[in-house]
Amino acid sequence: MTTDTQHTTNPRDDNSPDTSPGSRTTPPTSRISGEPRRFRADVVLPRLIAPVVLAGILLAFSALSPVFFSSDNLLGVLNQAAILALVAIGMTVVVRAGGIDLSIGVALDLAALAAAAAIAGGYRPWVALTIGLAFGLTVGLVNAALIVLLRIPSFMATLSVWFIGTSVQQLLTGGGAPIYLQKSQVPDGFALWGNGAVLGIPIPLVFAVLVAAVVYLGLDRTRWGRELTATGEQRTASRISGKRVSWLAVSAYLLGAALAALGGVVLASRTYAFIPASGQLYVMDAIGAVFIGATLSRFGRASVPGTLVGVLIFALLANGMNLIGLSFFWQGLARGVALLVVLLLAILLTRTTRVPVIPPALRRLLAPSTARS
Amino acid sequence: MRGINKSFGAAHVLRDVSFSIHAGEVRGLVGENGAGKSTLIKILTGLYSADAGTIELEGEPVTISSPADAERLGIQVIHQDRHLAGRLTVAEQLYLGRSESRRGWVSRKALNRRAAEDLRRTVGLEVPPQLLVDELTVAEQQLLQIARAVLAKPRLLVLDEPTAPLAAAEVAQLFGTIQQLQEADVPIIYISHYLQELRQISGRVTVLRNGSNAGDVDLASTPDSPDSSDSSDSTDGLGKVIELMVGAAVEEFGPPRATRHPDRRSPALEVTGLAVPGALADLDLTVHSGEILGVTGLVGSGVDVLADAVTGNIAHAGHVRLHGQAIRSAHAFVRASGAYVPADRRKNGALVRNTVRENISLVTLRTLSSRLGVIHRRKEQHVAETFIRELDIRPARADAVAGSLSGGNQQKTVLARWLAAGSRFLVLDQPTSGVDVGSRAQIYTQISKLVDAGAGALLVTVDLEELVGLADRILVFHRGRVIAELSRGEASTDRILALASGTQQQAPDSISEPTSSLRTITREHV
Repeated sequence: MTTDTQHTTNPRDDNSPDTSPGSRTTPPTSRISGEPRRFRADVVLPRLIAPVVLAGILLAFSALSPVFFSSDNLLGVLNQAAILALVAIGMTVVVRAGGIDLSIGVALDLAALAAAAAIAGGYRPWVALTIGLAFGLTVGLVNAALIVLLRIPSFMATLSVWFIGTSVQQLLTGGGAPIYLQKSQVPDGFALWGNGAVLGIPIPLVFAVLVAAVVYLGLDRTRWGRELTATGEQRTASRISGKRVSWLAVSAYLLGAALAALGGVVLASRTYAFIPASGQLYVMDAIGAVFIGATLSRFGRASVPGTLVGVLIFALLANGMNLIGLSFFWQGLARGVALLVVLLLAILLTRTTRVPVIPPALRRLLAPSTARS
Repeated sequence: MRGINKSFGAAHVLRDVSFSIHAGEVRGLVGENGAGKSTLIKILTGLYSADAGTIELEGEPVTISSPADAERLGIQVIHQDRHLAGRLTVAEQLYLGRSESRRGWVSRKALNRRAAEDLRRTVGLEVPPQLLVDELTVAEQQLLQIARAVLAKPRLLVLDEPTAPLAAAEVAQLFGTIQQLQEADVPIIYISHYLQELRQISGRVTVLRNGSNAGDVDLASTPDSPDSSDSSDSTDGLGKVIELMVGAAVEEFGPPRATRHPDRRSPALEVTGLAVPGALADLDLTVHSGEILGVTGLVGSGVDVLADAVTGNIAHAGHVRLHGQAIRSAHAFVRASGAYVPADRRKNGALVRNTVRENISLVTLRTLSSRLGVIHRRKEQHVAETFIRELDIRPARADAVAGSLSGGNQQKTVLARWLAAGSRFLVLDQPTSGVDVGSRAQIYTQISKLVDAGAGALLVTVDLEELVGLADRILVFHRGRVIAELSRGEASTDRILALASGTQQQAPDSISEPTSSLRTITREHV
């Protein structure tokens, strides 16, 4: 339809012989259809870094400590990591939606506070759980309103909520005094969530595994996950395709807060207490784990399996260092170095490709003024 | 500039282009989109380097390998898109990077006073110098940028579409400034689609087409064709310019198809009183089922926001209805069976970090998933493969990353998304810009097929051949308003270009008889 028209065209005098009147752009380049997929070192290798680092940590501590690679110890590590896993999976959803949630620790704290107070007030376990989740969801709702309605970049919005929420817990607890529950007054049904076990598997771990499976399927196998991902990466393109981008963002912040709140209830149950500002300990670990995990995706995309690798790296580092008798104060250093090693290696190995390790979500956060369209 | 060549990959963008300009001359540079004007200017300013050719400035051969080189040589360019730091004050922006800001202890007061004076003197702009650049209107920003260039005492000034955002009075002021510079012997390259302006300020016009010199036209001396009795006196050599610009024929679109007979009783898209501040004023239009309404206009004519407005993607006044349903959001537009192929393909069209499969199924996900929202992978794969085959998307792999495809294949992927969803109305904004000829033909085929089957389409394009080849009816926009409506038979690229560039002296409101009053420049007259 296009190529043979120069015969019928009235030839213009000023066309050089090699310029056909019709072809104003590139001549159709012939591309081989169905070209085979080749092994691309620069695409594949960066995605292996985090798992390799994880394996390295396992091997190193196994060699250094005789106890480390025992099933009891590893199960204990997993149990300890369960709450971080819940929080980090919540963060994964938010990052996938193109944002970040610095206030996720506040959701955890308020949930733990509400649950502990409910138990102390003699309410039943299920009521305590419901109240805890409701408090956590409130934080998510505030975030969603600030980000979606008022269009404040998520970094700033959740930072403000974190400041405010920290203060709120201190005010509610009379200046930050912990709430300790008497073991005798805690119903078994509540204590079970943090301390029980099913078939020898600690219940917090069961929660984490179930949540991980459901969120993984939700993000990677459902319409919601697909649309959430598209919105997080290219908001305008998703809106043009008819997606309800605002509702998708709301769902992400609510789910993130809900998962952190679940973590908070489990924490209160496990410790028989609410200790103010304990949620803050999880926030930075969760962000680190999500971005370590993002290196597992060829698009630098946050994913549940990747996040779990990040969580395990942090948890095993902490446990191993305890076992070989290193001071607690080395742990921050170890985490920072682990994060840097993974990100730097991934950046070095991807330098030749266009696929960035730093997800666009994170890059937008670093330049908040262009964060929204 | 002599014998300039430039290729990007297989695309030969400039072929042996030569260009010269004397001191004190204002030289027009024109050509259709994609003719190579921008590339030529980017070579001159060091943003690109030429593959072959030489550049001489005041007789001295020069090499320009970076924008810094160009700045040092005294080449000042006002680009079409403004490059201003919005968070600086007017005064800071005016002297940014110049000695005044390096002195360290400049008093703000003195700086502001000087800035106010310089702005008034050079471009007649009266704004408080302590305002932020962001607080200025687009026109004021444009003038600020010109003032900045003039203050640098340039040895060569390039203005790329400088008047697009300007109102008539500001244009007059700008021309005054240009005249001053001309008297100071500064050569000025003036790029504009507004051909009428060129006649006012420049003597000679250089025309580029398909990346080659199409010829120079002396606007002052080229006589009008003797038999053009019914053409207005104002055309001079402009007819010749248009002839040289358009050149290539419309036959790219193959044999003319049978004229469609759209169902006039069933409006698909109804737009009433549509207004977007600074872009569109009180627009009414209707697109019927079974017809393609083509819309065109230059930069600043408002067509660039039209597609976003009717698809519910930007705020606007007025009403839009699609298939009888009020459109207040992008979501509503898609629900009413609307499809939108946006102009910025990589940003707003394709999901570049997703697979072709995920791109194609994006709008169709609801039907491809179970009640719980779980996507049926096999169904999705099947849909993707069907449309990859239908549109010949290459590589023909559903799991290829969309961002790695060529422009044409990306665009076909975006189109496939809407075809898969069974959309019954298409809004196409520059659907084939940067698309190779082969993909272009396939895209046209798909559009025609859909419209022949009863869908309506709104085609916004600056590609006049595409417009004439595809559209059943054409609206030409000029500075926010429709200035002409042409039917398929009476539209030609020459004529549309003449209308769009404001060559025709016609009051915007007198469009009651488009067919009789718009006969000024047609091919027969040149």
